[in-house]
Amino acid sequence: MTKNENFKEYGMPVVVLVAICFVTTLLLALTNSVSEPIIIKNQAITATANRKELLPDADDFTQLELDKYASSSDGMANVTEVYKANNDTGYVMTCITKSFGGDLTMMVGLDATGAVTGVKVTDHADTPGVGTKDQDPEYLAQYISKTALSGEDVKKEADFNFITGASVSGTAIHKGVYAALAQYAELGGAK
Amino acid sequence: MKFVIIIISMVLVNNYPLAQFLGICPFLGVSKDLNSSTGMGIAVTFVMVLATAVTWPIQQLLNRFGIGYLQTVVFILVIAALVQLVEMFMKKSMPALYKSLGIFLPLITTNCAVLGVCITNIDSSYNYIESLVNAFGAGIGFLFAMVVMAGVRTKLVDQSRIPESFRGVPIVLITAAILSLSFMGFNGMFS
Amino acid sequence: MEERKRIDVLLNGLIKENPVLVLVIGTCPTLATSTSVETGFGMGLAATAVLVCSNIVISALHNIIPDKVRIPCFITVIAGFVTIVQMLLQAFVPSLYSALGLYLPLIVVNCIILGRAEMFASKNGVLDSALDGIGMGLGFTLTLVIMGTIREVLGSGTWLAGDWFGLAKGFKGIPLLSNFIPGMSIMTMVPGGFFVYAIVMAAVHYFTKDKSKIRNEFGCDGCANAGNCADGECVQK
Repeated sequence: MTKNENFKEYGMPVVVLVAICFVTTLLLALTNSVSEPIIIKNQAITATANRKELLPDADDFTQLELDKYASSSDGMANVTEVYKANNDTGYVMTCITKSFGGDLTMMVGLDATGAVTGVKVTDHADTPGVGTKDQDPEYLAQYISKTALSGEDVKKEADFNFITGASVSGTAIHKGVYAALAQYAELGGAK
Repeated sequence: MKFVIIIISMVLVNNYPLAQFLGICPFLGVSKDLNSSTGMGIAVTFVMVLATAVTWPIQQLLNRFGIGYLQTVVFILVIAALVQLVEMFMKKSMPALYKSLGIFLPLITTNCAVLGVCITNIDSSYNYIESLVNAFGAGIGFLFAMVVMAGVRTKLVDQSRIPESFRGVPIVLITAAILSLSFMGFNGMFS
Repeated sequence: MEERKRIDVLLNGLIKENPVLVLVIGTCPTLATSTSVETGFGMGLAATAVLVCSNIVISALHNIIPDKVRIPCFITVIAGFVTIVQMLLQAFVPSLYSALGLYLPLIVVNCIILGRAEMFASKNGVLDSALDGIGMGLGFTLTLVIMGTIREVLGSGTWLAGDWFGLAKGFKGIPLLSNFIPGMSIMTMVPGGFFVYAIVMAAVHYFTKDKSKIRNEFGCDGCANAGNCADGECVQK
């Protein structure tokens, strides 16, 4: 085989493949630079809108920088962000909790008396259908105006309409609310 | 204990073809007899674990450089290259194994279950060991579904009178529907 | 190619060679995203966009790409477009992005796209490949919308519910059945998916019985890997 043929046999495929990969990467980087700021902005807008929805009395929010965030006793649910209403009407906490398909992100609104004003799941990886039944507003509304939970086990909660088919995510959400209430207690109420 | 739960949940509750709609093509296409479904199932399990073993560290690398958006491109290329490599290696050094498993390997590149398990591992923020266990569980679940399906199908073809319009693919889909219906019974096994 | 044939190329994917109902490929996203008309339609459009773009690029490049690295090259091109669609959806239609979830990156391994690249785009011109992509994509979308309609109407009693790309925020849907009977949520779950798919396919078989050759078995025709499958020996044979 001559050198030229050798190149055609082994060199060409490598060169073409590398070139295609390179061009693809460039295009992706370009798209990313366009879309990423919009995505981040969108997320911020949705997050603020969600917080307002959970705590309608609040005017605007300030994020609190805390040294220690509350967790459920098994460490499955963790409070990650605490937002305080600027007009002292309460807090909205973001919790990340382990559900069936992975991390489930939720927000819990608490008013000045420490009662839950709303719970909302903002991101999850659960199977749509049964696994997301307990993300319905009707189900989550059961938490509203509770100031304390009986425990970390959702099944032991009194007067609670629990969805049997979605026990993992139901428990995950329950632990998230529990952690948020613990965080509230740690903050010493709305000041 | 956690690993056991991951495996059992991937096999029974979150079974890929029957509960998550992943890997349907081979599930319907290759489940005609017991031999080929076992072969396909083992090959998929093998590639899933191998692909996870390689893609998980790569994702950490991508994250470090802030180019996580290349995930899909890099993963699918790595899987394609990996499958090719395994096939070549098997052909050379293990001809007997190649004869029984090797023919399924090229089909696996475009099997969405493999890419699915790699991405799910990242999305669920599993650590390395958990990811490997999860991939193994998903593979075993796939194998299990394939074998059950093959068992039903062998009987189906031999012993039943099927309405003309339902012959072929539709009756296989009906079988899959009934199978997945029975697998729904495992829902909520873990809480 | 003459004008007539061009139209054939376009219409082929819609009915005669409908990828989902006749070629039986791309089954995973079909089953997973046809839970409602909105998600099905969104998935169909996303896949169509990727399919048309990748068909155009691949048919334009097919003379340059060496045969040996054909598949990796195709995959890279497809994966690139998928990621672009993914990023654009996340930026501009976040509701659809989260509704499709894992199945959005999985468009990469949708057999329809690689299959068309291998079987059509790498052998035909740019214009024909684009038309083929549009036809196949619309065939895919059409099937998803039909299945989405059946599953949504039976499953939740409404039709066309959703945000519709932000155009109709929180639209509750047309209550076709929900005023009479409660939704059968099994239809939006996994078994319902298989069941509706089977019924739709059986219906197609029933109505096309005499007109065209129906496929009763899975075969290599629709398989993207038919070419390199175990040295040309398909597992099926």
